[in-house]
Amino acid sequence: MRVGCLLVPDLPLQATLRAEPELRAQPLAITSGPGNRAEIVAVSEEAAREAVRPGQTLPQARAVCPRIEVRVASPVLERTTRETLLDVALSLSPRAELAPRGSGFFASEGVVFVDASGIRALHGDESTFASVFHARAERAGTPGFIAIASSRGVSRLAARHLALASLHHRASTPDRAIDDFPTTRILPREREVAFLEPLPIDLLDPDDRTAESLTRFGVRRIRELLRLPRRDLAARLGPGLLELVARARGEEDEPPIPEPRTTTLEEGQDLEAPIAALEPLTFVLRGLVSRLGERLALRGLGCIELRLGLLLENGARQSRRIGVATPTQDERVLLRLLRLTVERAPPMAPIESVTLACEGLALRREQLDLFLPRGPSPSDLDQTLAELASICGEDRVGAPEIVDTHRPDAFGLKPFRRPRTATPRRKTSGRKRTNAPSVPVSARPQAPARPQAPTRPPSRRGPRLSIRALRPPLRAEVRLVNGRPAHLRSALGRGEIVTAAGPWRTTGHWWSKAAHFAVDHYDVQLADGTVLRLAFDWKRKCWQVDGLYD
Amino acid sequence: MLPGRSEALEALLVDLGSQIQKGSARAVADAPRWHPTGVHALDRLLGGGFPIGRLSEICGPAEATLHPGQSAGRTAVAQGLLAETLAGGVLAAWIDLADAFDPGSALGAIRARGGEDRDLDRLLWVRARDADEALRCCERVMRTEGFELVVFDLFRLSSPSENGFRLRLKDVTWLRLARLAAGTRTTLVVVADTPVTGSRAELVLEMRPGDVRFHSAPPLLESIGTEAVLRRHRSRPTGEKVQLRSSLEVDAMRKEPGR
Repeated sequence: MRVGCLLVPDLPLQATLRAEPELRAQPLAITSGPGNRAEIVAVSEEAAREAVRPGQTLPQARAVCPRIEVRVASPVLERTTRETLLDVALSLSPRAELAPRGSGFFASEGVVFVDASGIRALHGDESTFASVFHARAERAGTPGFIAIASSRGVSRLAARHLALASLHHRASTPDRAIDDFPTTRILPREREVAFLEPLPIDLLDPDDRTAESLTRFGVRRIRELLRLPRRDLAARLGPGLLELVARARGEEDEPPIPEPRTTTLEEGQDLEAPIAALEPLTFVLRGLVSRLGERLALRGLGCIELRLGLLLENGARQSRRIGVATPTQDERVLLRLLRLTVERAPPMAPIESVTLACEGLALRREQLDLFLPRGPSPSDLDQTLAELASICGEDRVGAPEIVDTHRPDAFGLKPFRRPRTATPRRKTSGRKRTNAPSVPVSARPQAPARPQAPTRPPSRRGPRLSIRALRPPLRAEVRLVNGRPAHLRSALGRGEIVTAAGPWRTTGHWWSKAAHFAVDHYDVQLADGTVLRLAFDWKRKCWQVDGLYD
Repeated sequence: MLPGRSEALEALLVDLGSQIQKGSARAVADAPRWHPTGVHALDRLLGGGFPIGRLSEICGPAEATLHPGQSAGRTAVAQGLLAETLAGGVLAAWIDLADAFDPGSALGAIRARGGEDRDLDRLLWVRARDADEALRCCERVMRTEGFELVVFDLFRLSSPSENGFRLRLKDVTWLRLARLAAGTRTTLVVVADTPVTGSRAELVLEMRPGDVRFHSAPPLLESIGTEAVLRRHRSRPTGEKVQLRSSLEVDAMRKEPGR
């Protein structure tokens, strides 16, 4: 069995740099909390060159490096960065596992294991696999060290050793670029013991009690630990040491246990200062969407739903759910949807923290229909519909529907879908004839029968009369003469009614007091030529204009 | 080719830039150039119909601002055009600022044209709540390739702020919409009470109200006469007019027995 290990040494630092990549070339310190008393937990290479060290306080760091950038360690960012490590591993193998957090000196490292068995068909050799692994991790904003060995423990030790060696290398040669030092290590099984023996015992990350006992016994290297009789060690120092010895011998030969694969990806960011305006919030959202997009690409998923969570300054929490019509990785579309949603209902107070979760779904492959006229691609259409729904509201975009009711103001709107049945396209006038040679009908090959377009009706003098609905209807004052409308006053028109046709009574829902309706309709012509649809609502006892013939 | 002419041709190609379309001359010549309205007299007046990939306008007379409610047949022409377009199996959109679109009337126009009821399923109806939403929705739909016809209905009957909206739709807005129409080969038809698109429209059709006919006793609304005047056209003489008569053949939605 072969196991690959990706180790990111300073996870709080890398998590911050992943969220704010513009800080990469600047001296940066990560503190354990806000305020001057907080302790620095991680520093960037540039800060280390300026003699800033973990364990210092902020004033001490500023004393040696006044231009240092400081960020507070964010649990949200660390969690999402760990999840990103798993995404990177899952992009290479279905069997990947996040390692539990280390302790002491190694508490800030992020580690993921991946099953590296049987990779030859895809990657050739382990060296190529390690290079691909490293490149993907770097692209996802989590650069680290890769080691491949025959067990999880050894691969982790090898990666940890590589990280420490890189640190010493940079400290000893500050003017050399980090790229000079290797970031991957392949350990063949037969060379593992020789590699492990000279390593210091601290690399095994023993707990404090065990480390103190081993130091008291003068055990400093793994070689010395392996020479001790295992049974006596367990009797004197407890069974915990056996696990340490097994780790040193590379005896953990079980493969990484696959993590349950969830399709929900989440990114978040605690803001340094509360945000009250849309533009800076869009800037933050762009970063979140970009990171989510990278993770979606790693998993081969498209976003089908976004959930935006906002923690406000007043302690309130707001969440928005945004449906995406079709799975997409297009960051511009997702950002536009988010922006439209926030624009439509801005938060009531400044924002302190933002989380963005997306539900992933396998990307859909599109195939155009041979027998349909050229139309929008399904994904384009779905994105358009999603944006229109964000602008106007989902209940205001769709295909019109004739509803099965007699209610005069009733209309339906159903979801708009690209039709799947073929309708032949009628030739549009203005198409010029081609000069193809004339072929007798009998000599032409018989095409399969296809539905024909409805025949055009004979020439008409005008279009069919249409009505414009007034929603809601306009209130009107009507004077009656002999029981018929004779004079109208409304916002749409006023004056004498020249002709009135009607009434046509429409009633329905008599069994329901709330939904019952009874309306008398008239088609009335005013003196200025306007033709309106006038209605008397028997329930409200009022006149109203609910349509204009146009 | 002479060297001087070659340089001139190169300079011309550079000047034209993105206006040059790739493809053979045959393909360009074979492409349909307009959408018919289904009314022969009107199609003759327009030179075939509403030009594809261009901005057109159907409006009432400019002096009718004080009486926007006059029945001039603008909606009838737009819905006739819509019915004809949908009969081709393509998609269309109706951006409805006034929330005045009546599905029953549209279905009537489709049936009058001889189309099928399912044609209405290919119409995207966007009920904008205000002018900004309507404009954003229109631009978004225009950016989506595949909608052959977009009707931008600005004819607000009930809002007193319609003049304010007209002021906000500046010339540059129409220029942008016209360019989007050309880019996606979408026919954009603006329906308004008075002319709004200015010089950016390829075609402006002014509709004027005419006589109204009621059918004997008891009176039944039969038809409304209108006059269509070609106010602007890039390739046809303007000022020509044609008399139309919009008839209410069968109002199946309201007058059929039992309804």
